[in-house]
Amino acid sequence: MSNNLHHQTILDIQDISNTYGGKPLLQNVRFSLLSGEILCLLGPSGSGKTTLLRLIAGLEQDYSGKIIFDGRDIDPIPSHKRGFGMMFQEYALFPHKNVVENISFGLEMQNMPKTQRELQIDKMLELVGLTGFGNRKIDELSGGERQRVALARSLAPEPRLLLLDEPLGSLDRTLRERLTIEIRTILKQLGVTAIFVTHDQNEAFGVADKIAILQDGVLQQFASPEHLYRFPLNRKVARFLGFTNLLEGRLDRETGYFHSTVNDPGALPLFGPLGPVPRPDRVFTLPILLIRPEGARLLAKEEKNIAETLQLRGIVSNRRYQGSSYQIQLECQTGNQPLHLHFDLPLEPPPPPVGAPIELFIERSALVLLDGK
Amino acid sequence: MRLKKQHISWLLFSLPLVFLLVFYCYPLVKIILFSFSPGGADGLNRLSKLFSTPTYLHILWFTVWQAALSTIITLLLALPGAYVFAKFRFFGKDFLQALMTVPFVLPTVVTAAAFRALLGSNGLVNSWLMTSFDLSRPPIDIEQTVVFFLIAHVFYNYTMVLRIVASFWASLDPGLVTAARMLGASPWTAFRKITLPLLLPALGSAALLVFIFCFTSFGVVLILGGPGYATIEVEIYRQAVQLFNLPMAAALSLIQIGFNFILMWLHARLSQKSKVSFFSDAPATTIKPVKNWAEKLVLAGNIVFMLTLLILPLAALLISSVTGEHGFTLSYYKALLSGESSSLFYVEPIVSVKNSIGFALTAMVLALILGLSAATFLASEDKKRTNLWDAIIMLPLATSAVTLGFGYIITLNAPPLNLRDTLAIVPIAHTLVAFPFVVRCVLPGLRQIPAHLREAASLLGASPYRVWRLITFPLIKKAILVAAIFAFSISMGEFGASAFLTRPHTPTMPVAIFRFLNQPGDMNFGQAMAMSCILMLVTCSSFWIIGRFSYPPTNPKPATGPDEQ
Repeated sequence: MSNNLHHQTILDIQDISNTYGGKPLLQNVRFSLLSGEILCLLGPSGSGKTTLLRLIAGLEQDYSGKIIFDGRDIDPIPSHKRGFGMMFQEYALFPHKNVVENISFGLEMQNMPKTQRELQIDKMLELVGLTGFGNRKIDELSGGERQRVALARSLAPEPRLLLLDEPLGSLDRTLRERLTIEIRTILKQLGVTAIFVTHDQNEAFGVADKIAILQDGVLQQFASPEHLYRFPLNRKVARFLGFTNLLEGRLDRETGYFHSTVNDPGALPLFGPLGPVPRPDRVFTLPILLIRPEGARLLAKEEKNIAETLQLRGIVSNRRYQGSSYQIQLECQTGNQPLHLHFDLPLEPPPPPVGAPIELFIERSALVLLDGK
Repeated sequence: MRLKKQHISWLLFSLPLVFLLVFYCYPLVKIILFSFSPGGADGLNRLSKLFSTPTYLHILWFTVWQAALSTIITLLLALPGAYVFAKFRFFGKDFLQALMTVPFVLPTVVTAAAFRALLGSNGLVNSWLMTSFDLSRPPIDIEQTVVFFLIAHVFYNYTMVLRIVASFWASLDPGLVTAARMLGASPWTAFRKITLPLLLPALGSAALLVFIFCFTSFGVVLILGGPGYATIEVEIYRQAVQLFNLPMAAALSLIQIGFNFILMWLHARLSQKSKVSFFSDAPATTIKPVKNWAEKLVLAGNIVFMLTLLILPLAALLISSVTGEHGFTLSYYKALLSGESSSLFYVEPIVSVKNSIGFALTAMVLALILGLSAATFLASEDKKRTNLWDAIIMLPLATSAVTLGFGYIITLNAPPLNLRDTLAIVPIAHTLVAFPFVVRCVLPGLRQIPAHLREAASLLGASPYRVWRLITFPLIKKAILVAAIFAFSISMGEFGASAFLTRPHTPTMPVAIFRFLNQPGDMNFGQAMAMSCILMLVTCSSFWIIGRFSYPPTNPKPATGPDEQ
């Protein structure tokens, strides 16, 4: 439900660098965010994503570069005057205040009159589905309820920007999945611009309009979830997203064909022309071919002799039933060392058992070329 | 018949129980009976007379008033210090932390002597001011005023408040203040609305403890306050020892006992509710180096204050003990060894050192035996079911030493228990004060040993005794050592009960210091200083040893080295 009224840049991060404990952490991070968008900062722990969030919040101050919000450099504004909201990993709910008093805190700081405050609190409680919980003490709430109170508290003062620091980190898997959807619905309903920090890619895909992948303080890729998954920019991003089928090779720019160098060229048991693969327009110093695991199925008999289909042969070296699919490991006995590739195959027809030969049909759309550096 | 496990632990527990019954409950009951019956007059009359006589009402009021004032001053001074300790990492913090245990372990008599040495009419500050500005009279005249012992009370309790509040503060989630800031609160508003309310349990608990200590203050008031001032404790002592008005002393003791129980009960309730503990060192995850000049100023101010408060009196004590009319002298120490001051003593003063050490060793052994028995019982049962017994064991802590001493002289001087003239009576009183501490030291360690360990050893063929010797004992060895030193030091410094119980020819060190301080003349004053120094050395070094054992270098030092300042 993206609102067309917005679509103007609200946050502009310009070449942010900083050090942590004497060592450089963030390195020339730059991106911008449109009003009403939800951005996920995604990266492993230690990648600098929480630091970046705290810099934007004004909780950390030593950095170079500029943070422009709504056309203004916000560096001189102390954090309590920025009008940003923040939701913390452990929620940081005030233990000496009940649910209503927690939500009311930010409104009191704005000196909002009592009657207006009460209206806003009721609205927030309803929004997060906690109507009637107002007088509960914090230690009487479950993990999911606390999370909702924290969300309501940070949303109540209608922040210009909401920062969420791994807000689902301490909850169990199923609850997290449910709350991810809820948070997105609520944020979109209010049209809040938000930055959401997480290390969990599923969470990021579920909640974000844009994803920024941070690794070792470097912004590796900034894209929509769909684009990110479809076209990971480099090996680091691909690995972080969980892709393992990465083949080094050489791109023939004349034909647009990709030649694997993992094994003897041509000895790779891929039948049929590999390319042209997407993105031949990009120049990669060290090209890598990614085969996405869901882009394969068992080859039907009648397809075997069609020259244009892309085929892969090998031995099933491992086979794992995953409920909705099979994960198989394909071993190609070529060259000096065996090559292992992983694929998710549909339940029907079931793949052959471990040790049996297998022939796979590969979708052309499952192939992506990326930078191996 | 085979003894079951429960029977054995009950058998063990009967030891401390019987001891408590005979040496705690019996004297206390006797005090109550005594204040109501003997001497012809009706006890209730005496109590009502006590409340209607302005003198006694004044003593009561004064006791409450000085304790409240001491508490407020201490809290106000300690709060900034607690902030500094909870939030910052700085050079010399470990040293300050070690230094801060000193006042807490210093015997009251030594503290009093130290402040006489520093701020008394003949004290260092006065003599320095008199020589520098050529004055004829000492400019600081606070001897025998409230100010004098209020300062000593602050010295005593400052570090305790700082410790309790700082560790509680450091354990507060820093995210709460950050959250408040992000919701629009300025730093001051965040402190007022979030930090301060959350600190209240720790502040309340610390305040109550300070109040209790000042309410029962004896040695400091007796020595520094002079004849013009009396807390209930001091008045009990005067009535009993100087005026021989035993019924009146008993009536006062009864009031004191009542007040103490109520205060200790309040404190127990409060600390249970808020989980504030003097013994816990919360992991301080939020500690950071100082950044801007405002923080540096606050830090420097607090450190200077701490050093002044903690070091000056002790330094004054040391200097006074070796300074005579003509500069440096060791004559006071020499005099302690000779019998010259025999008008005060039937024996050479140095004998009191021997007495103190003998008493302390005896009390230590007794306290260990009783404390270990009690702790073994308490650890063997479910925690909830032993709560009551645990509280009973702690009762001696809720009773002032002066009341105990008084109770002993009215009960243990006649059959069936005539111990008045034996050497045993002092160590017994000290044991009673010390053994609850032994329980507190050992019990957490005992409870931490998983039952599986003992069960495994037993299934591998160890007898119960060997299980204790080979499994339990090695695991709590350190705690036992700490407990032993604790008991020893408590006995060394104990004054309240000893003031009643020591005989003229068997003084302990604190009693000897008190006698010296009460006599005029430089020689007596100097010997008091010298004796105080010896006692300070003994107690501080034992607590230094405790520190080595109980706090191994686990101080969490963040790994980020480069930004250390």
